[in-house]
Amino acid sequence: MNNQIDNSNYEAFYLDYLEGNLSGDALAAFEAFMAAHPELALEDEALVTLSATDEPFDAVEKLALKKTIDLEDLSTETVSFFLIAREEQLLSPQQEAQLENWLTANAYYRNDARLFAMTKVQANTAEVFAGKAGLKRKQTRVIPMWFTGAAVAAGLALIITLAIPNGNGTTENDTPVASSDSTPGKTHKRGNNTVNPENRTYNPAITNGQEQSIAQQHKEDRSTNISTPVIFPVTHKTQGGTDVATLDKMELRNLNQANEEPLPIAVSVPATRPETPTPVASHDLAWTPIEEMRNPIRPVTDKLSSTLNTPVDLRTAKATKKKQGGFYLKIGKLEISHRSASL
Amino acid sequence: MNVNDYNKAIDEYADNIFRFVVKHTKNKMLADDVVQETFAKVWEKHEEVQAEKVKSYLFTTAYHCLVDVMKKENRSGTLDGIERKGTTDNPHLFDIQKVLHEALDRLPEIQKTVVLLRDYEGYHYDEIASITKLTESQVKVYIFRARQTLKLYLKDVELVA
Repeated sequence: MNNQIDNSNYEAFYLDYLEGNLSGDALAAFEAFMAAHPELALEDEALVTLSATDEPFDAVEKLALKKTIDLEDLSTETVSFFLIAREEQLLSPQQEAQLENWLTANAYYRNDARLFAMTKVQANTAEVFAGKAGLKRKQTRVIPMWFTGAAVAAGLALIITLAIPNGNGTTENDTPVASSDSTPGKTHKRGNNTVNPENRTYNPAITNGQEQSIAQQHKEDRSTNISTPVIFPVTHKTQGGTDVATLDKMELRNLNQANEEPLPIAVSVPATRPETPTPVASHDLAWTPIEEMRNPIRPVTDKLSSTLNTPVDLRTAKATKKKQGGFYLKIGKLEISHRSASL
Repeated sequence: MNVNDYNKAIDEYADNIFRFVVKHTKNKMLADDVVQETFAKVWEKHEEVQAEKVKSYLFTTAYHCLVDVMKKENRSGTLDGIERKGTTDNPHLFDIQKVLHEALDRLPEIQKTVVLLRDYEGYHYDEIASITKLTESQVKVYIFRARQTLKLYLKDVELVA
């Protein structure tokens, strides 16, 4: 070590001196320097030294850090740990027995055992949260994406069914004919309809208010339609070679009131029609019963029924020479049917 | 967890969480807020939470909400002096649970938390560690330390009585 001690390096020598690392010439040189510069000497209180304390780490916490419990550690200093461990149910039955034996031999610690047993905090069950009802969520039904697709498919099938020309594809038989069932989407709520086969007038009688399901009505219609066709009175007149079909004025008023739209007084039909008026025979035919109709999208309606947990059905039938066609749609309690003219 | 599981969790655990929180805050309105916030947060994640683990999830969420609220309220000084009773009640009426709850209120918050989770809910050390983000050893040490303090408190009160 360089023994040249001056004001710029004396602190390093000073530290070595305090730690007892100076000896020989270095020690003599440092002492000579300090004797020459007494103002540089440190006061005792200016020295910061660390010394180990005699206070040991808490015996209970030391044992608590251990991963296992060993009764060999049981002593008057550590008994609190074992008493707490017993309350915490960390001791095996054998260890509990050993502890009990120890307590018998050291009865002074029985009171500590009793006090530790009382340190279990109990909740005040009378204290409750009052706003539980406000936190609850309502059950909502999530309609999956496939449902939208199925609904679109069902809609398209319905449109296609309605758009298919009856029978052989000619539209001649789609001539507008006023009929109680010709209003698309009209729900059936009819009672006893009195029909006069002579002048073929349709008298929509209001029944005693009882509603029948469409299926029942259709059955009845089927049986009655064979012998008593349901149509409005139509009279054909020839005006300058044009066949004009007119409705009974009373029925027109009824229809106007029902539809709230003015209806034409006369409906023109093509001039090719024979001059001799002929009855509209197609409406004398029976309607295809629902049981005989076919469901073109059965997988879709079955899936909808199971998903929505409500009956869904769609049936269609094409018109034939003997029977009228149409469709029947049922969604839950809603039933809609439509007839189309026969060939 | 579906809606039914969520509503069932409210019936089963809302009271427990409320008691746990109110024991810390000493303020029922604050505890109401924490419970509501807890369930709102759990509902946000209800599709990810398994029904059988909802209790642990609820208490973890409640604990973190509680810590946030306590920090906020301590900063604003709202909690100072709220219902923090000492031992000034008649010591001759030695109601153990009453004294114990008084002693509990004097514990450091973290010790109070682990003791409440242990005694109120019966959670194991590892579950408490998961909720409080402590190690299992820390939980154990805190519980042992708290029990010693509670025992000393009971002993003092008993001697006075």
